Amino acid sequence: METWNKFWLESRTRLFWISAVYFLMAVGVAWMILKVPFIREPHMWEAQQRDLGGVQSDLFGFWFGFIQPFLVIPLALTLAPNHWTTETANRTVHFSLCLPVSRRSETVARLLWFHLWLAFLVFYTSSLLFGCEVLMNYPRSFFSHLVQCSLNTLAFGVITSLWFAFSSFLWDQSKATAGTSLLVFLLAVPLLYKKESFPGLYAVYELLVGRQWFLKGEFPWRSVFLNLALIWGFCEIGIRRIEQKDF
Amino acid sequence: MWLKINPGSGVPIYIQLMEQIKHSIAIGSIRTGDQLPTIRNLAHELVINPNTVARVYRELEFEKVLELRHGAGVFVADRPANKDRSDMIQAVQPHFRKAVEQGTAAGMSEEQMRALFESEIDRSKSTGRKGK
Amino acid sequence: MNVPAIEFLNVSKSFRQKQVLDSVRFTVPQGAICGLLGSNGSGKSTSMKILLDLVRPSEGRALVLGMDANNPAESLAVRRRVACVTEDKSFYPYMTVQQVLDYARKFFNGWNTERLSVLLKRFELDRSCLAKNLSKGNRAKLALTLALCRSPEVLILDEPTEGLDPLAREDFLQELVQASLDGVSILICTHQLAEVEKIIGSIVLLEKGKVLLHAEVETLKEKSRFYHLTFRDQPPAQIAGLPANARISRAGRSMVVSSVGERWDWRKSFADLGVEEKPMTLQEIYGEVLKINREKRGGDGNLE
Repeated sequence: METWNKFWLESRTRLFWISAVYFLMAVGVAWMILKVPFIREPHMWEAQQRDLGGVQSDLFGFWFGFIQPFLVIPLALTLAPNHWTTETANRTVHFSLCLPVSRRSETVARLLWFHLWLAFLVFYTSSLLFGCEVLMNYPRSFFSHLVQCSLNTLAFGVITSLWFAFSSFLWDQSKATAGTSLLVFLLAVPLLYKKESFPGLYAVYELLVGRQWFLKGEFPWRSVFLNLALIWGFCEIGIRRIEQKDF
Repeated sequence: MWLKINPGSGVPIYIQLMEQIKHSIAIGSIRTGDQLPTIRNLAHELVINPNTVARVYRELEFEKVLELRHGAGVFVADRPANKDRSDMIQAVQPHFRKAVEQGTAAGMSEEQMRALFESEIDRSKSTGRKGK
Repeated sequence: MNVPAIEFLNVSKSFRQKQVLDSVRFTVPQGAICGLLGSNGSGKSTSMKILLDLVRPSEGRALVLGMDANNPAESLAVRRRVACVTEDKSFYPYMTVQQVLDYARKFFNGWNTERLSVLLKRFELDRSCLAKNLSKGNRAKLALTLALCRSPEVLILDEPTEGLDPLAREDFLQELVQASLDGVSILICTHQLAEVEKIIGSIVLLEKGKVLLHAEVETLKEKSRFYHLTFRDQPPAQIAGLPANARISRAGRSMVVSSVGERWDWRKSFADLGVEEKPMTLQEIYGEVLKINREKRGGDGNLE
């Protein structure tokens, strides 16, 4: 696809810096994991719930449930899943729209490109964590790591596609971020209750924390399907809005 | 043949072009059988709409001033219309020349003479007399 | 050759309760060069955007080469055959001129490489320059180059000479002549009337979203005149038998009647008066039509 080349030229510098910054953060976390006793102590709330012993679940939860969501998502969003807003600011949007490409196909290409980079960020930095665990001789399955990375990418995808849907209406990146953050915060409220009777509500966070998969070895089918549906739904809302918009 | 279009004069361009071509023929700067520039070349040279040039050539062909030979080009026709005009110009030109010489001798500038000439044309139109 | 290049069929457009276009209806035949004129806010740019599917009409349809410009399937086909220069002559800031050209080229089959080299040389564009570092004039030149190389059937130009130096404007007009010779239909939206007067075959004049005038330029010029009447005493308060699109302005014992599109036979009423007739330039025609329209609107308080 011709537009992929455009996306690459647009963001290759930014991608390099994001990857580098995130890599350094991952190195920092890995160092803390290996060296700082405080982190290694089983003190986090997850530890109370687990049926498997050992520090690895703390690290796992800490990494996938806390570090990644707060670092990956903001960094990734700077890559702009809705490139039309950037093009509007650069005044190149008319040029792009006058080319014989449908708005839908270019937007879908962009979303795909964006989420592939998101997956890359999740996987490549998580490999550092995996490296730490190998060094600490934890019995760690590479496969379970891969699965958790995939689940995380899916969960982040829900938030980023929600952001995309917001931005297709609000068109201002900071407003879209504000809207998404609010909704994400609201979605997190049920977590405080930890009630099993509302599994659907915090399906996103279930995937991030990895309770079901890692601790119990159960693949969270319901959450996965729900999240795929949410991603598709939010993207479709955004794409349709972009298709109908007057530029 | 030197053609110059004045887009700001208000006179339609095709009329200007037709008059100038006829005038060139009448004063002898192009003669019977001479080839005129192609529509393409003339449009490029004058930077005007090619459809206008096409129209001019068509109208002049209709008036039998020009001859359009398919595949060969546009040529000045060997027609009495051209000759009549040539005679007309020959008859009037000496008077014009004399007026210009007199104006120059009286110290008038080019612009003054042009302005005077144009006002005389307007005056003749307004009194309803046409010099045809 | 029967299908018109561009057709507006009663196109209306409103943005947030504001009517930008009101039942716009006109046609540009194939091979013609048409000027779309109007003051700022008259709806010219919106009309052009509708043809390019940037904006969708509220009512009516716009057709390009017989295809609906805003139908999702047909609009893609339209954009393959049409080239445009839009208001925003900006390009991706992270690409060089060469990269922009390479990128655009991938979308078109009929890319003319020889024409591209000729144009780049003529406009003196530096291929390695980053698009964000291009001057306004160079951006306009690049926009024009991109439009001309893809061998379009229709050219839609919105203020194409904005930012160009006089020599480049001359080059641009030459390129338009060449395009016309190649059979391209052209719709050009511009304020630089004097510049394009030689090129334009017909005009459409928009004011507040409505078509005020749609005529062949040469015919319009033949039939439009200023009539300067000088009276011995006070001029009459009213004049009968004036053409529909006529306007009177008075100064002392003189009166100027301007008539657009229709000759006034003043001899019927003023045979014994000294009347001077003067032709109108396109600029003057444009001005007079707007003034006539505003007087008509002001007089009866309604839109025409």
